[in-house]
Amino acid sequence: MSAGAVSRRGRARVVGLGWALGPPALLGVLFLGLPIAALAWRAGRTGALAEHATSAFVLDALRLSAITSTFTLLIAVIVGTPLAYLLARYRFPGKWLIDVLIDLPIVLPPTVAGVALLVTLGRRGIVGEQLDAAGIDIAFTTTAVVLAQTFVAAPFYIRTAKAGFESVDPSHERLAWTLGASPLRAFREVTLPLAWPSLLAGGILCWARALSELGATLIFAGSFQGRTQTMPLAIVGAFESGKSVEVPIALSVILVCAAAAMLVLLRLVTGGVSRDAHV
Amino acid sequence: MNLSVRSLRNAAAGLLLVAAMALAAACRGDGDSPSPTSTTAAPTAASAAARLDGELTVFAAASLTAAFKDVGAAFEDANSGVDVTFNFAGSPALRTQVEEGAPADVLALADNKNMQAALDKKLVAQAWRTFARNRLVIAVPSANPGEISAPVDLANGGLKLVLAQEDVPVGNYARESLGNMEADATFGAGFRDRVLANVVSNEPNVKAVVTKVQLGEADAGIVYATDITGDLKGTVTAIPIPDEFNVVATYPVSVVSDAKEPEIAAAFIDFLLSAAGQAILEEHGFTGAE
Amino acid sequence: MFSVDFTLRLGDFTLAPTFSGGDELIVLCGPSGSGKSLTLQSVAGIMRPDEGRIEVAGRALLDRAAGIDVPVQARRVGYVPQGQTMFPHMTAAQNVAFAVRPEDRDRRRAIVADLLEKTGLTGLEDRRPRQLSGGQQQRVALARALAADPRILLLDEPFSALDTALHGELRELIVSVQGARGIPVLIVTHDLGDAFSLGDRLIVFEAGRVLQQGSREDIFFRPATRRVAELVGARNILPMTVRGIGDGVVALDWAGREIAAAIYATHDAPPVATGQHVEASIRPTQIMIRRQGDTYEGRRNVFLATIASEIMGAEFYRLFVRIDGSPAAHDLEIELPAYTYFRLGLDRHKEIELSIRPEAVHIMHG
Repeated sequence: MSAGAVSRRGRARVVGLGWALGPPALLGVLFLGLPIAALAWRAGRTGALAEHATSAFVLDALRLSAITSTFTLLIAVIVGTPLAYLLARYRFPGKWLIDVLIDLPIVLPPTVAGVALLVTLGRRGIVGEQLDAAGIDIAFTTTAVVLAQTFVAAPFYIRTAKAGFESVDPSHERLAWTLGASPLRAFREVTLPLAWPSLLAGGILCWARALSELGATLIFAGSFQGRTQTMPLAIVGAFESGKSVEVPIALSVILVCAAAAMLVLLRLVTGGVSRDAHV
Repeated sequence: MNLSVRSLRNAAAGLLLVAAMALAAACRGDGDSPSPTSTTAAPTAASAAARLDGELTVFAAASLTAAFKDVGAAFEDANSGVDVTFNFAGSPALRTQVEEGAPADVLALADNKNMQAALDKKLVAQAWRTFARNRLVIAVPSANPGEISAPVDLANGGLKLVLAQEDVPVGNYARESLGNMEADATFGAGFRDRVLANVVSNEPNVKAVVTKVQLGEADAGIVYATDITGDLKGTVTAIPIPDEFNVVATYPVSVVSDAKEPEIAAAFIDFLLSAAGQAILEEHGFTGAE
Repeated sequence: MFSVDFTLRLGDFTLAPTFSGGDELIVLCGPSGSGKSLTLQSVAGIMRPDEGRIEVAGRALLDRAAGIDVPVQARRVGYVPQGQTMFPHMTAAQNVAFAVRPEDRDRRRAIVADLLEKTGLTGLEDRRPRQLSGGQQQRVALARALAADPRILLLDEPFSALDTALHGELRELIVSVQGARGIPVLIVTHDLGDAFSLGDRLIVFEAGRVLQQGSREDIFFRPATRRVAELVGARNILPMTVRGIGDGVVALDWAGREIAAAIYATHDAPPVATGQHVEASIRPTQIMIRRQGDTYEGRRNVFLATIASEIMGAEFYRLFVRIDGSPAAHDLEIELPAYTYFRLGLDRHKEIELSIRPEAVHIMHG
């Protein structure tokens, strides 16, 4: 049976270096897993989780995080997909510059991203000054949260989507054209399905990064319950308030659960897709 | 010039400290080193100073950052064997860190409330000592886009006000101060609520409030007088809050119960309260311990 | 009917093929990098020639002078690229259905079923590429190309990944498809055997140009130039001098020996003059080895020779023979069936008598 074949192959793979892999691997797993387990244990022990999970402070932050990260994902997909496809398929002067630009927010500390956004869209920023004159305020609004998240998180989607499009042999698209398909239909029915696992992975990476965004948001959007205070900001706020360390712990556990659920979903969906795909 | 004054002061502080240490050693003795050695070592100043060997970790409120760096340097000058390391953060965060077992020797906070909480949990060894006081001011960008000239302007419609969040000492003080104003007939009933309606962000610490004002994103913020120091003078203007409405922040300091270096910690606190230490704090805008 | 005459510049490489053909099997052959695949892609519309004209079934797909450049999706070409030919994320049926306009679902289903049946894929409808053999994938690609109801079929190296048995099957399928549809089928191949067995018409490419086009006999037996002869596998290319012309043959001097070459009325090669130095090719399979004691049919082109060396293949043997009295290591290469080799009792160093029909001696120019 196929299940047997898989497990036999799995065992065979470990035989190579054998048990020598055990200790360092275990250490790695412990190092990554223990802090998460400790958080959960601490929250479970005090029973604070249930109490805080339903407070307005937490619900507002959760709701705001869900809304802003979803909007961020939408913007990343709408703007990022054409850009990723362009970068994957076409060569043009200055392309390397765009590649570097897209990588930069991934490398930069989010605080720098926040400051960069401020000097651009802030009240005294090069664009913000005009907006301010026109009566449009961005700083300290939910829009600012989404912009901060998009700046920091969208590159993760664009990067992954670009790699996904690059992995699709352009000859498949051209072939589709010869068969009478318009470029749009070829993209929709050939390119998109073939790049889908990467697009999905990129989307979830982007969403997860947006969900955990703190530095840029704090600088550019400030922190106001229900308006700009997302989960990470609420955690920092709770920690700084010093009321009780159980509050930030409870918040952290909720955030960990949301992120973990999304990553598990990623595994399930991309696993399912790649099993169906070729090679 | 400044240098010579400081080095003189440091020398004086050093002498003072040596004396204090000798006294402390004589009175208390020492768990780690047997008292016979300490009594034999006490007579010479050099050997007394040499007894202060080690690394001192000071957890201090964010508003103390600049002042404590200078205090630390002076303390190190006076005690060549001592290395002072600082951890600056909001007072509640510091308390939480100590509660969770962070390795601190000295805990210096921006309000008594958090120190009382630390004492209740026996995180600090003994009753604290107040080493400095601070006052609140209204910080506005130098361009003053909100056109604020007095506290009463904080209630102007459409103003963008940034405060430190509640439970952070400066956040609490600011709200308390607004309450004081409301009680005064000239401000009128509901003044506090009208001002709080202008709040666009509740920052996790006072430095973040100053940054928002400095960048011109906020029209005003309520911060400590000590936060508007040399570097910021050009970009941020301080508008005073009259004494009758102001809330005076008191800065308590204590030795942490689990301190690895309780001797050095005690010496540091003594230095803080000495003339030399107080002079440095005043230089940074703090009011003396009294 | 179609005609191709365009110029496509890609960096240092210039592709400028000129050829035409009818509703038949046309094989594009030539060394790799000579522009065969690019020519197919230009007809398909994937490559965009800089100038020139491409016409299929009386319709200009490209005419730069007239400002015509029909978009790829409107060209109605059935293109099967080299290598990975199926859409990897679709089943066999989905691949074929992709090329049928989706207006009428029932009609689409009927067309797909019909094509899969004709290409021998019935029962494999729901298989994905990795569940199909290379030959089955090629047939899916062919069915898909036909589903678009093309005016011309373009097959790029259709046999490259197939073993011998599948190779034959697909060759038959292509021949029958051409017969049924009655459209031009352009096939790119580097395999001379395929070129000969499939091509009603052969187009020989080199370095972006068409060296010669014509029937398979023209190309294989009467290559216009030495280079074409080399490209189509002629191995006896011999320098000769014209001694005289007459009696339906050209009398040639071949290293002091006389050899006659037939003059073809149909062959539009330029005339040769006495004393002219030429090259002549003799295909290795066109040289007969006479059994000892056979009667003479004529006196022409008979030589005594010795087998100098041999290369044994599974079906065919290649003999390298030296004409008696010749100083060369060998003068001619002969290919013959293994069966004939043994029937004639041949062996290395054995003396043999060769006979070459004048029709097998082909004079080339340039």
